[in-house]
Amino acid sequence: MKKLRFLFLIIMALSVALVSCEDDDDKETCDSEDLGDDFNCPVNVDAIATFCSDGENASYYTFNGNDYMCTGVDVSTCDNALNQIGAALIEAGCGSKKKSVDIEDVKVELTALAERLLAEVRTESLYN
Amino acid sequence: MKIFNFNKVYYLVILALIVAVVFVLNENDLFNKQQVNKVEIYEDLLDIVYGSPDAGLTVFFYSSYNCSFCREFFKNVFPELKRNFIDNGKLKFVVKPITLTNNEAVINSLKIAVCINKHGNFEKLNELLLTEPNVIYTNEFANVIDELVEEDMYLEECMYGGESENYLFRNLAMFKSLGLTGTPSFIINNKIYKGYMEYDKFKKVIEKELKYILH
Repeated sequence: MKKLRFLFLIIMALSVALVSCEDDDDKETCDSEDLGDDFNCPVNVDAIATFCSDGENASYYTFNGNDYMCTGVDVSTCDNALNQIGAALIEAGCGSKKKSVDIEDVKVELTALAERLLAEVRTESLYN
Repeated sequence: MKIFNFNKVYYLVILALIVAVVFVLNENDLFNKQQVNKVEIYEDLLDIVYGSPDAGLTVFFYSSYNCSFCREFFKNVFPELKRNFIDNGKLKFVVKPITLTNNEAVINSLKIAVCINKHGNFEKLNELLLTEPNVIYTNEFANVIDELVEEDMYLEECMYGGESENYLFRNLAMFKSLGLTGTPSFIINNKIYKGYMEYDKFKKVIEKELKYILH
């Protein structure tokens, strides 16, 4: 009986210790991929997408500042996300069906913040 | 009257021993899931460096403005890191910008970033690129680069004399030679830490590596 109690105590202690030591921090990792070849992009088009996964929740791609969600953890569940990124790339001149466009045509709407920061970069980046 | 219950004391001692062993194992990272290969990495003249050259510990950070988690790190983690470790001389933080693409706008944005860091005030440009990464594709950004380069011959030399371009090639070569494929990636004490870390996690890593150096 004493041995049983002793064993029970040891198991309890180990369980408590292990649970308290479990790494509960952010486990997400990201990898950048160049999709330029896959989508037959001209060399002047930025085709870098970043795949992020925490191994538990649905993974996702980030591309050009947007998130594209996968349906599961594995990259094989990201077909829809990749299709959306592909559509954005084709719009930027990738793919065989559309002719390449100059990167200058791929413009962004500048926000007021960007305008302000650009002005500050212009005036405050050099010491002279 | 019995003052000590021998069995209870015995159990408590065993329990304390177990907790101590688990604590030591955890401190030595045997339970840590994220790790690490030993690698060699060096500081380059055009690296973007924060902190004292005499800091005990150096963090190398492979980063890209295209990478949303790199921007997230700069916005949310770096300020606390700077306040608690860099500004007090404990840590030097070395940013190695990289790009995996041949896109001219991306390359020019990194070239102007490292050149302005060397010859001017990098903070405003850094803020712009973190806040609005797509600005690099605009004519307005290209105009700003042209104007800055026209105003400063050292900047022009850095931008178009091959220095910054060669630097980006070196960075990419080193990045690939380390077996890295994505950003953000950190090299701390010659160990690779891949992926974004929240401040609390990063703090633990820094404290562990600082402790390692002191011993």
